[in-house]
Amino acid sequence: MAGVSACVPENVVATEDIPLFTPEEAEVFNNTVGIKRRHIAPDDVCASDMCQKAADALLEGLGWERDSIDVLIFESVTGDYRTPPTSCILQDRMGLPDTTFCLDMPMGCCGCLYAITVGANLLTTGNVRRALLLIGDTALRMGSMKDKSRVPLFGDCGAAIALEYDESAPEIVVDFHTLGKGYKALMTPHGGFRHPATPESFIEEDFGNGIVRAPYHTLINGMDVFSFAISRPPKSVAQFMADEGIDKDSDVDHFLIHQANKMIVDRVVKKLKLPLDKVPYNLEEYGNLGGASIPSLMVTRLRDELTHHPERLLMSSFGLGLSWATMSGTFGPMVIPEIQSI
Amino acid sequence: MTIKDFIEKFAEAAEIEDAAALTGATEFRELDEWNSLAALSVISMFEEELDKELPVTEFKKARTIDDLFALAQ
Repeated sequence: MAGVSACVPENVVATEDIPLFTPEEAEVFNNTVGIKRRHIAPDDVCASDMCQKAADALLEGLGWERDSIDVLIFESVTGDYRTPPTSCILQDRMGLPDTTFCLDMPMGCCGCLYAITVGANLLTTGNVRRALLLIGDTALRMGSMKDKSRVPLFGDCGAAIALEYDESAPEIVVDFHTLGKGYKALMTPHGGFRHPATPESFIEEDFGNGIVRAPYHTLINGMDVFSFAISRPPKSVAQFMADEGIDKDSDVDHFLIHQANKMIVDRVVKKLKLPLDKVPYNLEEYGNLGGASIPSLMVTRLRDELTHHPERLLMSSFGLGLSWATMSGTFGPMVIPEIQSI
Repeated sequence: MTIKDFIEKFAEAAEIEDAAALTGATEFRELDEWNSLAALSVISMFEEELDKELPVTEFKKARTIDDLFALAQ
């Protein structure tokens, strides 16, 4: 991994500014869910725009010629259009060569670990040498603005990761799981080909507890997601560490846990008995950034460390699918530009 | 685990002030302290203290503490 960067919108929304909350509710939310602010993109800024800005800064920092890029992966559930793949549009917008292998991946919160796994495996063949992984979402806009169970949770961000073929690079170990049975916990019921958008798709229903949404909106079944997130991922991390002979105290410098919300991350940390000083959080400032959550932790919380020396990282992410993943490796020193804004 | 032990764990998780007033027949959703955060805490209590992934569909059907206790078996 040669570098990582991130870009967030300038517009910051504090919990107190969300019209769905009373002041008392906002305070309870800040103290329990822990997301106090989030950066929200205006309607004319897409995930690809934030990713592109992050990638521009990263390419400049690395001094990589655009002609040298072989692979471009765009990981997002909020691409520019349903077709074509946004990665193809980005190839043109970013001035990448026509030999670029472009691929879109819509994998949600585990997106970063999926993109690294696919990109790094392509590089492992030695046939391609440099990959750009663009990971980002504008998740808030997928849902209803009247859905209290969802609006306060997400922030917008676009990240970029540069991978380069290097025979001396330490290995990256990954472990992926899928629980397709639970797919309804995080889904957008209408708008795909199982249920194309019809006039009914836009009729809002009041589900109580401040949740008003239409079938065209993305939904989150909070209890199902919570129950999944505090059980499966930590079990897999524990198993992963046992299988790989990783000691949490002596073999890992930082645990990067997907920043879903404080209730979930705290419980994962508690269950795995992780040393708190090794678990950076940025959810209070950015909210849940989907796939960009883990790279954003590297940019906002580990920039100094990763810029100057190798760090042993253990990453855990979980999200739609349902899917969850663990990754470990030694990363850095690498190029990390200052966080960009758009 | 007895129902008494379970009620103790439930009261602690859901932060019920008057735990002594709880019985198996208590309809927990009617308690003043019951809200969505309490629900998440109970799910968490199942996972952490009982090492059980609480099936959410069953949890939503549960009305009394006895119903929850049955899910803990």
